[in-house]
Amino acid sequence: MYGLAAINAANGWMITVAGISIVFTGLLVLSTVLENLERVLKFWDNRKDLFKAKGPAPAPRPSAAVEPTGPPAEATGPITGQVIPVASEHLEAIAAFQTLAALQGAVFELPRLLETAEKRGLARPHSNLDRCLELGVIVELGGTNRGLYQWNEEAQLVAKQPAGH
Amino acid sequence: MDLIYQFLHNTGFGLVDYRHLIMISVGIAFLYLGIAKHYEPLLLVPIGFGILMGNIPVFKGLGLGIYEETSVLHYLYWGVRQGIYPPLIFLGIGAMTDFSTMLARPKLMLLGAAAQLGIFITFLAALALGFAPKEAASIGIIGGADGPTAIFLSAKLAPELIGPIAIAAYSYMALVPVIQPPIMYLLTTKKERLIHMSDPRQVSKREKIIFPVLGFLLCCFVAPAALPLLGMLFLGNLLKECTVTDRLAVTARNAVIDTVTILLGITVGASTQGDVFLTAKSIGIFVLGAASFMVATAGGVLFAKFMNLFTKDKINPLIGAAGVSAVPDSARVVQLIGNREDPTNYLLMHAMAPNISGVIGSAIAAGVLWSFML
Repeated sequence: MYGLAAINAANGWMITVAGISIVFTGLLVLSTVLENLERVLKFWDNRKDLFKAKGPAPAPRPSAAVEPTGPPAEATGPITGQVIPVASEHLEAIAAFQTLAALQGAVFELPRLLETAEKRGLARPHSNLDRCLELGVIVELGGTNRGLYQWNEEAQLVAKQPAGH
Repeated sequence: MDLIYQFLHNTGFGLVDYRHLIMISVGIAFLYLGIAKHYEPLLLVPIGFGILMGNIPVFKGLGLGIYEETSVLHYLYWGVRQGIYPPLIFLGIGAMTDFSTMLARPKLMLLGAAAQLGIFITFLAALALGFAPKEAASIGIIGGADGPTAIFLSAKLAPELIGPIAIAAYSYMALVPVIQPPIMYLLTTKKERLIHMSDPRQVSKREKIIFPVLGFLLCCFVAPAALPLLGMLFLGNLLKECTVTDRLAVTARNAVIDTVTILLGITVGASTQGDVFLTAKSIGIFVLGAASFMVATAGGVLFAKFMNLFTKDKINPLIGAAGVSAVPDSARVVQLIGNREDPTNYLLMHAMAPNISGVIGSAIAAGVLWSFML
């Protein structure tokens, strides 16, 4: 059988229309999900702040005069053994560095960590590594072990509240 | 004297016929294209040599030919016939592909879907030319421009056509720089070819890790028959991106894919034994395969123009041509043409998005066709 008769006999039109529709649907659904993935992840990172914002308003402070006027002392330098506020967009990069640091062992060298981060395709490896050092989540051992670093296990990273909250 | 005559009669010189010579010429042409012209050398060299191996005239019954059950080549060919090699190649492709350009602009994935039009139009054309439905589906998939997918589907639906389909698919993939440009010029204006696209956003590592899991679940829920191909593709990508399975990712994108490519190339090439391969059907497959590539290219380009009617951020329609998969050759062709029009226009990273989504799209299309033909 040839021509249109062969196409009709094999349900060719139906298969073609259904096939194209399924391929389009599959990729359309995937692209829609991916289009919103970044937004969903941001929402997930800020979930605590969002729920806090929707909760009951905090009770008024007894007096505004007792409010501290300057930034907290620990915000000016590396913080160890306590909570470190980090901008939510940097949390992921620092977590990725933590995974890579763990793969290198308890003690590691920065050039090697940086090289691994570059190989794994982490975004902006130099500036993110610098941030880790600045925040004190990666600390130098010092003494005879100068040049060797370790992850600060006591540092607890929390998402910094965006300005205006 | 009889003994010498018998020996001479059983050598290749005694057994050769014109079909062997034609196929040996094809094999040499493949080797030339791969080595001298650098057209897909990793594929064309093993396939070309496989064609030579498959077309040495041998005495039937010695267990040497690929179609003889006791031959070594027959055992190696088992991986093709059972559809084992293509998913392993997909594992390697997943482990070497960076999906970030696609994740940065997911709407470009639709160009990869549009280019699959070639598969279904060719399916209809093959039916009209008198091919059986399963054969027509296997021929149509050549338009996906994806060798492993074409082999996988024909192994499932029309095993007797694996040789011509695989050779047609890989030949046309190698000839992407020749086939696509005329269609791209024909369907676009100079003004369209000069469109500069905005830089894609930075994609976070977390998105790259989530994508293979999410992509696998969504695609395989839509088209479960694509499971063997897409499962391995996304697994390979997860191994690459998750940062804790580096050794496995390195193995998948080097040792595994290289080994399987050699075995696949040699056996597919050897399956083109002149007496089995040179038939009217094979010629039909080659003609339809070429048409399939052209329709797929046109489908991607025209859909990009269609999308431009509705989007503010204009797409250079040339990148639609990359929707035919053929990673990364068709993206390179897009870059070449775009760059020829305007040397400051870099389209490669934009073209990679439809290019990679074309791989996913053709695997879904193969799954759909397979499930319809069961």
